[in-house]
Amino acid sequence: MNEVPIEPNDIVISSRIRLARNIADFPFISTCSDDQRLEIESVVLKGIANDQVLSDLTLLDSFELNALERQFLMDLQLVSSPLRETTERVAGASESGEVVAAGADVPAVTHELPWEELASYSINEDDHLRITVNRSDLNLQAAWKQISALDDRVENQLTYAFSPQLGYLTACPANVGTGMRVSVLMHLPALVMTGQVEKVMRSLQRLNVVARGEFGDSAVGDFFRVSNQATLGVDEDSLIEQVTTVVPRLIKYEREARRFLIEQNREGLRRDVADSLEKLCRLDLEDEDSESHERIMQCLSKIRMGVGMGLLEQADADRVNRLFALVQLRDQLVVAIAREDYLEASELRDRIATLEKGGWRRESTDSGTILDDPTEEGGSQ
Amino acid sequence: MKCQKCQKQATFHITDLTGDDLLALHLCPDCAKGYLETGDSSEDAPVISDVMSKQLKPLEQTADDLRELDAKECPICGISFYEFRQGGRLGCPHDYVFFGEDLEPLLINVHGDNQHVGKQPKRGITDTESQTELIRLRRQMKEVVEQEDYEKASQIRDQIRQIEGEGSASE
Repeated sequence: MNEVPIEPNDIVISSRIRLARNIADFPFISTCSDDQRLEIESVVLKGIANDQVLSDLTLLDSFELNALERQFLMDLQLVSSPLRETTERVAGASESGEVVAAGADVPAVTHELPWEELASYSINEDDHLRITVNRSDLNLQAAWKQISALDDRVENQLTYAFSPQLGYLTACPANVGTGMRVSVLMHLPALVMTGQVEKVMRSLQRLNVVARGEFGDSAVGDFFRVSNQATLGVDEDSLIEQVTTVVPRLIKYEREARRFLIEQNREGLRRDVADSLEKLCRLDLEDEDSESHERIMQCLSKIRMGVGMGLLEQADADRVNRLFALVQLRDQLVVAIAREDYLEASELRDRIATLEKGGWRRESTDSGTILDDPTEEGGSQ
Repeated sequence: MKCQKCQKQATFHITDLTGDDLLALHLCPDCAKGYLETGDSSEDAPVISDVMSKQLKPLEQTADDLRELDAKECPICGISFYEFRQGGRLGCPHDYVFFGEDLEPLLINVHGDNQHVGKQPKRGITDTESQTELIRLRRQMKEVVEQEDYEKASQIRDQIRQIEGEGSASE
């Protein structure tokens, strides 16, 4: 591929590759007994432990995670669903496939790596093993190189279920072959607002690409994950190309829709965005109720679009920047507490307090909500 | 005219204007419905049970054929084709062999192909028969343990160890 990878922008958020693999001498998850799941887990972990580079991975047991930690891993795209009853473990690896500090309950992040680029192995999700590599840019070739190397390391230790005709055998026939799902996360609010999104998504089908809503109910969201439809009969490089070629087209459609909206009613749109910011200020960001999560995402989506379109006044744009900084610091606080690094945690709390005082809400009277430390009970162990 | 996606009579003639080029489609009612519906909720797209229900109808199977197919059970993992159709997940790698012909139309529908290209395990293809045997023995072991037939269980355990031993010896 000779195209220059597209940098993330106000429309393209991130990209990801996921590989599905199964061990040859066990049944797939749906017919596994609990004992067999444990056996699979131990076989995979033994394989990982045998590999020099992988042996120091951080292991997370979903039984031991609280809801917030779980959500945090979901935000990092390291796990794909809320708490599950089965044993499922996630191991965080840094971009080079080397080790991230071990012993913590959440992926401890070392080096200067962005968290978004952690790689992970999940055991006993839909397949025995799923390897995921996230990128904050669109360099999917680099992601493929990295994930293929991580795959090779495991393959040196285990025997995968593979047939020469059908490739890597997976629990769901929709993943058989390469077992590879390449995807790009995109923010397409203007296509949704102009009612074109379904039509555009349908047109992707004959390009062998599918899109589905990300973050909550696909019917209302503005975020879409665009991924390859087929996994069999197309090699990995071509799958990457299938997905990456539609991205510029979607960016173009979204830009056109945004331009149309501005031409139609710039002032109304500006007010809409500003209202979303005000609304967000009144929402309880800690509320775990899915309905309010939905509302928060809708506000964030509008605000994000407003920033991208230059619709926010400078003061409001500053508030949004402070909000994002706060969210990041809060995530770091969760990690620090999980690692029992109380020195760093207290430092982070100070920084959060300072930022809060600066006020991302216009009236900083109810500044308590975002500061409330939801992991207090975890921290005081 | 026959449907482009299956062999039924095409009654929907669609001209799709959404892309850069015009796209003419001739579909049967079932396939047209599938074409016009978008936005499924799983990354394992398209959702297999949906595809299955569309897939099976065009085969013009009689109810009896379908019942017979549904009742088919993999001798290794014990999953029936009906269970697969409901859950969309296969029970073991051997299902791809055992249900091979039944899965083929589905694979063609989802992937447009039935031959893998791309990455292969570097160590070469291993003997799948002995691995299938391992899956079968482990399941049998579970059954006899449940029946508290420990003598049989220990025999099976020895068989499992023997196959596992052969495997690691050849590496």
